Amino acid sequence: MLEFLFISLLWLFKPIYFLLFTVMFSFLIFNNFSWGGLFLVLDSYSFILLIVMSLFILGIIVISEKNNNLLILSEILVFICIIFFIPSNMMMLYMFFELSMFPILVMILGYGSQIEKINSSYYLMFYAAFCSFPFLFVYFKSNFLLVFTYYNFVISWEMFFILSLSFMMKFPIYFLHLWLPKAHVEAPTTASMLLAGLLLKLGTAGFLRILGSLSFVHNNVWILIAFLGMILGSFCCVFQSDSKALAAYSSVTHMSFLLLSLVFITMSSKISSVMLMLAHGYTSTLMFYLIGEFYHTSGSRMIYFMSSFFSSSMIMGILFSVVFLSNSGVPPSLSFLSEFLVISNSMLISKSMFVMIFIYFVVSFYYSLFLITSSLMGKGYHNFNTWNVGFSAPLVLMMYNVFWLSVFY
Amino acid sequence: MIVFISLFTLFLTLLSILTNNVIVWWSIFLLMTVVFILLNKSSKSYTSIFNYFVIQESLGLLFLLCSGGLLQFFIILLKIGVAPLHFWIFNVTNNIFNYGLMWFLTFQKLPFLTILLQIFWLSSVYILLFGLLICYVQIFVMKSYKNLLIISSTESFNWIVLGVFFSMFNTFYLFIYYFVLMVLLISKFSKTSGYNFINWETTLVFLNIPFSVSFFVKIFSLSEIFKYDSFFTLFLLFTMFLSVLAFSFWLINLSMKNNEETSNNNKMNYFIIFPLMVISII
Repeated sequence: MLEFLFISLLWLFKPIYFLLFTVMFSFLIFNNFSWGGLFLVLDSYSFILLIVMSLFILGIIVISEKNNNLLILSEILVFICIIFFIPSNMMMLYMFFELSMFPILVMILGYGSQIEKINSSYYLMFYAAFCSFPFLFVYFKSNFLLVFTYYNFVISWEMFFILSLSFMMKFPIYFLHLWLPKAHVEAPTTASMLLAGLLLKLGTAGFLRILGSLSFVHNNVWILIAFLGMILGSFCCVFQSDSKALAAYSSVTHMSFLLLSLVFITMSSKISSVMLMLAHGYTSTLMFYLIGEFYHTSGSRMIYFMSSFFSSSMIMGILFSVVFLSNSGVPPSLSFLSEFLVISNSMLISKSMFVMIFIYFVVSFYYSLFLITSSLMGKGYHNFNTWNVGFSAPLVLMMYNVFWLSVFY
Repeated sequence: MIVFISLFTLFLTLLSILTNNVIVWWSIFLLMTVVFILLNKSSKSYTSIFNYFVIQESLGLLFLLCSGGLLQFFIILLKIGVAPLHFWIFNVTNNIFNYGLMWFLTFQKLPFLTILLQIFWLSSVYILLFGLLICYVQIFVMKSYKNLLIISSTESFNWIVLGVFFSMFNTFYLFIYYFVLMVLLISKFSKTSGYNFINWETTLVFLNIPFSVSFFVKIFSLSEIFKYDSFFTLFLLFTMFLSVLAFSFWLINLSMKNNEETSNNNKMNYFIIFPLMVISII
């Protein structure tokens, strides 16, 4: 099974063959689900599904990106993330977590087109370094009571806060999110897709691994932080004029909603958080991809100039509206199912949570619908590349496909 | 000559371990000063040689005069240049180049490390941690390529000295490992070339990329230090971002400029040895 993963490294400079062997590896890990393993341990379907999601994202990058250097950096990043999802010890998880910063930094610094990329890379490195080095304190103080890579013993809430700082930064939780809009608006389209679809899942997958130590201690504080992220992030989206910044803040709101789901720590809320990870991975990747397609055609990312999609390209209009409806959680998307599960769990815990979630859904539906209507209407013309827009069809299928997923639950 | 000097240094290291005599130790100090002079005379670094000689011989005489253990300990810290007693290093390193610089930052310190092991003072952990804090603040305000590299090497040596108090064999393994890689990484800041620049592999290592030598130095030292209760180390981990921000200055220049004149490192040797670093963690 592992030989396909390592054979893919031999084809690092041939992106199609790298993708082929990693896809074969992903098929094999479905059949080798176990707690056995020496360096890589497949112990949960959550991480297997995240690996499959990362390969879907790599697929759309391989068929759409023309720059070979960006392709090689994308392959390196996807390989690092695959090993992050299935490590055998916490030190390996930490090292691959840190290692994932470097390909994205090289992409932003090397292939961003504006001088503000220096500022955004400093923001990214400050938050990454400040929040992740203290992780080692809790790790070495834990007397290695971990079970493989799970923190499931009792630690104090201060230690858990320090432990989760690195993963909260990658989430990104509100108040630790400032690096993400800066990174997105300076990154090329490929880096934005990987950053939104894949790098944010490192934070959520890491949070899953330390969730056993939370043990409901002060999780009302976490719920409060999640509510702040949902509502304030939604209102940030309403006021954005740059479409990439709007999509970035939309990621902040979705990940705060995911944090709300995670800190309930019930079986159904964990399942819904995994579904929400997958839904956000597919949706935000396509949001950035389609915004990037518009940017490559028209040279602008301003929402004011996003118009006339239906008169320019029917497939662009349909796919754009489908992606943003999935972003706002319209049935039958995967987002809707996971968000429905979260609402049910929150109503079981406290009925007053419905007010906050109601505000979040109203505002998030508003900005998604606003972008859809302003983009589809109009009678100008943009010469979209039909093939490039069509490359997003597999991810649209994945974000609306909920039935094969129920086999695992 | 470099081979002879290396073997001579190893012999002096062994001699310093075998003896417990301040006269013999002082002789080792003097011979290491002669080694430094021999190495840097060929590149005509007379200012550095003079500064180094004055500092080392003054401190050597003080070492002989003060027979109390604590003051001798601090004199050795000052002789090596362990932070926070490291500010004289820049007067020496401003004028040394090529392998003289690499030697000064790495192998020159080995006999002193073994002498330090015999007269260590356990409460100096706090002084060394405070020195690390001074290093991070100084790294943050430093902008010269060469001085950044020098002070980062000083910081790594502080981590090694911290580790040597708790686990000697781990630290000697780390030191040899660190030395082998610094031979490949420390760039040749030459007198003639106008581009004093840094390569990709040097930048990534000094940025503490995982699976690299500076990352492993910190991990091994931290795993020993945390057996010793210290919340100051947690504060130090929070301030470690200062060094990452400083070295991202290197990364930004590398990503945005196209430099073809700086590929004079041992690049092929490095990229063979780099995958072997993974084996260290297994």
